[in-house]
Amino acid sequence: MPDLDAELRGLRDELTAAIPLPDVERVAGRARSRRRLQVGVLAVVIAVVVGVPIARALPVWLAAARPDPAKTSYVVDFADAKHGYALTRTCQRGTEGCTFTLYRTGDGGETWQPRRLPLAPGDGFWDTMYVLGPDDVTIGKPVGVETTRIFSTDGGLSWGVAYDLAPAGTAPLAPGGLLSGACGEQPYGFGGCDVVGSIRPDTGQFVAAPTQPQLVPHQVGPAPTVTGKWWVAGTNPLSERSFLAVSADGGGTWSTSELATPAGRHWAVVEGDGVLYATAANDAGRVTSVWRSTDGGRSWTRTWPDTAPDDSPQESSSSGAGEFLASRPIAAGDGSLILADTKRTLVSDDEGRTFRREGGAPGWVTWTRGGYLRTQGGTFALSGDGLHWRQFTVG
Amino acid sequence: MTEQTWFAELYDRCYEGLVLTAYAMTNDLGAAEEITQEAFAVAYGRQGRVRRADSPEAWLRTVVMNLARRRFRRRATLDRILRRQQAEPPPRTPPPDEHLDLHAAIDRLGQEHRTVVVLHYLADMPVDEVAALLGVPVGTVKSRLARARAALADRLRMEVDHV
Repeated sequence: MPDLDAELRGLRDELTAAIPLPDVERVAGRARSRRRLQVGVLAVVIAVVVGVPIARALPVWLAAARPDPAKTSYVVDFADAKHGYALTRTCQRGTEGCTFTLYRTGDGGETWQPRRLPLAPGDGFWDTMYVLGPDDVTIGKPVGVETTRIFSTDGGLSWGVAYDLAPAGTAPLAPGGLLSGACGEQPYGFGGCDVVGSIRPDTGQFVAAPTQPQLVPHQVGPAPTVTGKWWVAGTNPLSERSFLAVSADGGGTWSTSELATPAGRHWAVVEGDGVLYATAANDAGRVTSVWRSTDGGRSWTRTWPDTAPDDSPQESSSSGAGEFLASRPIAAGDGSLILADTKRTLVSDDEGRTFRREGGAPGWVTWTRGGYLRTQGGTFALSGDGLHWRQFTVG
Repeated sequence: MTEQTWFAELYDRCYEGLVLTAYAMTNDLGAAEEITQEAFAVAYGRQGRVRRADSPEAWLRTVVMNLARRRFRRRATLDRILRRQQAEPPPRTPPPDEHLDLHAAIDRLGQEHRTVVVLHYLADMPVDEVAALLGVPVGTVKSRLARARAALADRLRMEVDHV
């Protein structure tokens, strides 16, 4: 039998030998490039603040013919039942050489109008879009540890550029703000970025919430629940457990609860008829527990599973939520809890304790300011109650 | 000692260990190198703050872990958004010449077990530092290491038996 310790030492030495050490000057050059980007974007931000329109200074690309659906992905988001945007990305090679187009709808997806974007083909991968209001939209891409963001307050007719700087003061979490975590002046606090706040829809700047939840934040719900509650998931750095924090007053106060769930789970929180539901999923995407709160997030009850502990990343059950690959849960208008993905639908009529399969595979579900958004292939649907859907296509 | 000299010495001393730290999260040596270089670029721009830290190496390590976690989360989100139907090509890590079986066995561990194995055995990090980095109790790290070792020993025995 091989000596495991000797094998591990040997592997360590091999891997270490396989790591080339680039010249330190390369690091310095990289740091200078980062600084130039920061300075450049700051200059743009200043120009925006003083009212210089940015869009005219940047080359723009109109939408070409309808994108090839085989190579195109979509990010769709809605501000309300009528107003939404779709960012289409057509990539030839992975995330290189992508072209981006934006569409806007004012009639719930019946018709779409193209919008100009100040994004050059091959200009990185703009991977997130959030719609904060009927005319407010922001699109972001990662740049090293930060995010560069463009934003519009006139329905995509003109654009500004913003950079995730240190928090620009504090302000209540406005309904049109984008909840986010940012790093503040100590960018790499223990466990992750530890300042929760919102992106202002008018400037794209980050402002910290009036108070901070008592946890190390790892995940935030970018849009509030149907009654305007904000939620943050995180951990206590000294324990293995997860925490959920909920605010019903724009971040003025937080109800923070420890949940008997290992750290690192991926959370989703939705609300229906005064009840909050939260699902936790492991890195493989499988739901590992379902939680319910009837007091606005001050306390939570695990409804599923009722016996097995939620401590194994490999756990799955032959029936129940564990076989489900997580998109967002649906707190449906009839009081049921629905878990749906591209392959199956599970419905609970007993507050999340047991689930039964229902026919149909509705697709991937997310929660937006405009309701539940369902994605299945290139087809989309919007619903306020999770039961009645209005289907549409983009473009 | 000039700041440049100090930074160059920090870089030479810590680079490889930090790459392995990032590798614990990414399972991709190329990505781990990229993340580590980004972390040093950040440190380069904030040398004053890094020098004042109790442990510049720990400061860098935290940056590396946060970058790796962020990349991991973005990758998972990206995969869902792009709805990739086929299996992703394996990460670009050149297989070691002599320890293929062990390397493959570590790759097959669950993420939590793999992370502690790579940090403790390959990045040479003491158990209490692994615990501090991951934000879990020391006992948890020890039990994960024990389970991982048992799993690795079983798999290597199986590989030996099949030879």
